[in-house]
This record gives sequence, C-alpha cells and structure tokens, in this order.
Amino acid sequence: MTPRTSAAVIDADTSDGELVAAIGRQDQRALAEAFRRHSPSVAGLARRVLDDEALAQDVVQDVFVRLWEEPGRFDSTRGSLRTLLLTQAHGRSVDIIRTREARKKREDRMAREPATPQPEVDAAFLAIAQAEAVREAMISLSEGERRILQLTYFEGHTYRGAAAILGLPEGTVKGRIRAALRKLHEILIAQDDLQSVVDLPNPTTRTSKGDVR
Amino acid sequence: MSTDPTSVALPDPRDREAMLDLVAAYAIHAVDADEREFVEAHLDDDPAYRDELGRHLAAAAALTIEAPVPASTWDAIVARTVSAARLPRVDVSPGDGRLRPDLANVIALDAARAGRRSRVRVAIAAAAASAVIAIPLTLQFAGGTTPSMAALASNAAKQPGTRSVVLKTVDGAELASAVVTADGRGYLRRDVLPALPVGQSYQLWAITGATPVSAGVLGRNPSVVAFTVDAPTSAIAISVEPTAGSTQPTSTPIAVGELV
Repeated sequence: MTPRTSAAVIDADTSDGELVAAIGRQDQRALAEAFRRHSPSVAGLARRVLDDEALAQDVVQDVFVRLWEEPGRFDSTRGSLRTLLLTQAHGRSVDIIRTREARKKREDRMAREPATPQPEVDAAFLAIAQAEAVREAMISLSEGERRILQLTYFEGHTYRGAAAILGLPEGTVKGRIRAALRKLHEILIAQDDLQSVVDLPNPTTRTSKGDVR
Repeated sequence: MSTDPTSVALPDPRDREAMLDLVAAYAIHAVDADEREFVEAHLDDDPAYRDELGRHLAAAAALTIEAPVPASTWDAIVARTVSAARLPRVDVSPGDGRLRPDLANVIALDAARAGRRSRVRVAIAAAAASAVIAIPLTLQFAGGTTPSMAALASNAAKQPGTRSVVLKTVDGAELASAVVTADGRGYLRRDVLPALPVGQSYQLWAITGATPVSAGVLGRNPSVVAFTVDAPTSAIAISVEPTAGSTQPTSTPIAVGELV
C-alpha cells in the first residue's frame, strides 16, 4: 500500500504526538519529520553501543520502520517520542552486540586468544556528555557508578555480567544502576534547559513504556 | 557477552526495593530474558515501578550524542515502509496468541509453494507433550522488495565466492532465502515468515559442524536483513526465540538450508 498524503500541515511546529497520529494514518511526511528530528540521536546511540557504522544504520532503519508499523506503541502520557525511540534503539543495539559477542567468544575460544582490553572508562563515558547539563550529571556519579553504566548501558553487559567483571555482588550492581539513573534524572530535571536536552515526559505523568524494547 | 545461561534467582515480588533495583536494570536492558519477563509481569503491581521506569528511561535517553545519518538510511526506510510494512498482520487464533517455540518445528504450509503475490494460508500445528494445539495463520503478500537492500543483496550475489541458501521447513516448504559472500556478509530475504506474537523473535543461526552460532535477532516481522557469519559456515537456520534472542537455540529451527 502506498502511504497517503494528507492536507494536514506537517512541519517543525508539529508536535511529536501529532506526528505519531499522522503516522498512524500512513502519512509518510510525518515519518520523515520524526526521522529528521530524532534519527541523529538514534544513530548516535546505536553507533556508540555497536561501534559499527553499518549496524548502527540498520538499527536506525529498524527503529523508524517499527514506528511506522506500530505507532500505537507511543503513549505521550508515558514518555516522549525521543525516549521511546532511543529506548528501542538501545534494546536493538544490545541484542546485536550480545549475539555478536556470543560469536566472538566462540572465535576467541578457538583462537585461544585473550579478550580485547576494555577502553578507558571515564574518557569514553564523559565524551558522551557534550551538553553541559549531562556532563554535570555524569560528573555527579561516582567512578563506580560510571563504570557500571559503561559496562551495562554502553557495552551491553547484563548487571550480572558487570558484577562478574567488577567482582561485586549482583545486588550491589543493581543498586548502583538504580542510584546512578536516579542521580542523572534528579540533576537533569533540575536544569532549566532540560527539555532541550532530554525531552522528559510530563513530570505529572512520569511513566514510560513498559515494553522497554 | 554477559547473558548468563544459568538459572536466575528472581526477587520476591513483595520485596519492593529489590523490585525497584531490578526495574532499573531492566530500563537499560541489563537483565536477561527471564528477568525481563518477570519485570514486565509485575510492572503494574505498584505504580512506583512504572513511575521509576519512566524516569530511568528518560535519564538513559540523555546519554547520547547526535551522529550524522546518511541519506541511504532514509531511502531504505522509505522502501521498507512502502512495500514490506504494509503487509497485513498475521492473524493468530485461537489460544493464547503465542506460538510454542519448542514445538514450532511441526509446521505445514499448505500453499506456501504458490510463491509471492498470492494469498497463502499458513497452518502451524504445535503438539504439546499431552495435547495438540492448532494455530491457523493467514498471511497476504503484497509483493515488492526493498530496493536498497535488494540492490545490496544483488551485488553480493554477483561477487565471486558468494553462496546462496534456501531455508526450508522439514516438509520442504521454502520460508526464506539468503546469499552469503565469501567474507561472510549475508542478506536474508523473508519469503514466507509470518509475524510472531509479542515476546518472540526470529533468530538466525550460522551452523558450522554441529554448532549453531547466532547471526542475529531478526525481530517479530523481519523483511530483508543483513547479517554476518563465519567463513566456514555450512548452513543457516532460523528459530523462534524470546524477543532478546538466545545464546543457543531454545527451539528446533523452523527452517534450515545448506549454503551452496
């Protein structure tokens, strides 16, 4: 079926909610506008997690095709469109990196070679924080919290895997993930320019998609 | 990576702090499949769980920087949304709406051989240990391909040393096809793969000898996908797995093909 055109105006002033509603009516102009707004962030996150340009672009494709196919997954009362798309991009990237890692482990066993050394944590992690608000939030984290987020969020380890790597109890790692995310949120939400950085959901209805994938 | 194949000790759902800790790990995809399902089953037990999940997701979403997106990415999206995405959904009924992965090898396609652009009725019969559950599926093909990916696949097919594979069910029905270049880059084209229920995903496996190695989680409703395999791979298989995929197949592959 060819996407329909609509008389409704789709431009930079159209809200994300209106875009998704138009996508539900198969208006591809709305998908294009959503792509224009959010694809750079989606690509940036996928590239950061995967460290592979081609795979990252595959993730971008998958995320926006999914938005086209399943616009009903967006619920403005549960979070912003940006958060939804980035959550999906992260989940897809982690899926890929875990299957890729499974293959790599097998290759490593066959070659009997040691694992690749991990990059410096703080340098890689803080490099993400281009926005001042995000940088401040990241600096507020302890070194241990940053290390755990590096291993889990950016490298795709489960908390259990991170615990094994760090030699920490699993419960400690889970607790630190929670503490780190809460710190990030508390600091970011206090910023006047928060919406331009994070695009958080309405604080009165701060819930999000249960389906994080 | 760190998907732990051992059994997982799930928290007591009444332990609120333990649940909130797990919700945080869930928010950043740092849990395994069992824990993910557990969290999703209990998210509505306490309003605080969804509230905190929303905050965690928003905070995590801040941890990104923008990157350029090539025009070819949008071209591929356009191609996929015009052709593949408008395929009607598979109608799964009756029962609980879930295929049984461990039984999905019992598959019969009564008209799959009619090829594309034809209405195909797909019947999957799943036999449980003590019962037989029949799940009729109906799938209509709108035809068309994804030009960008199709072009890549076409180019790959022309390269020296490229091998091809047709993935078939146990009764010989063709479900998908793929080409794999000499350096291991592959392109899979869905021909007759019905969309799966939420919570399940197709997963592609490269087989070398008797060992399957994951070549990628394809999602519930894949179209044309790129993947990579090890050079010595002799065959390709597809199985139905939990959404996050598995480190090893948890079900008998629904389709297998030898690279030739």
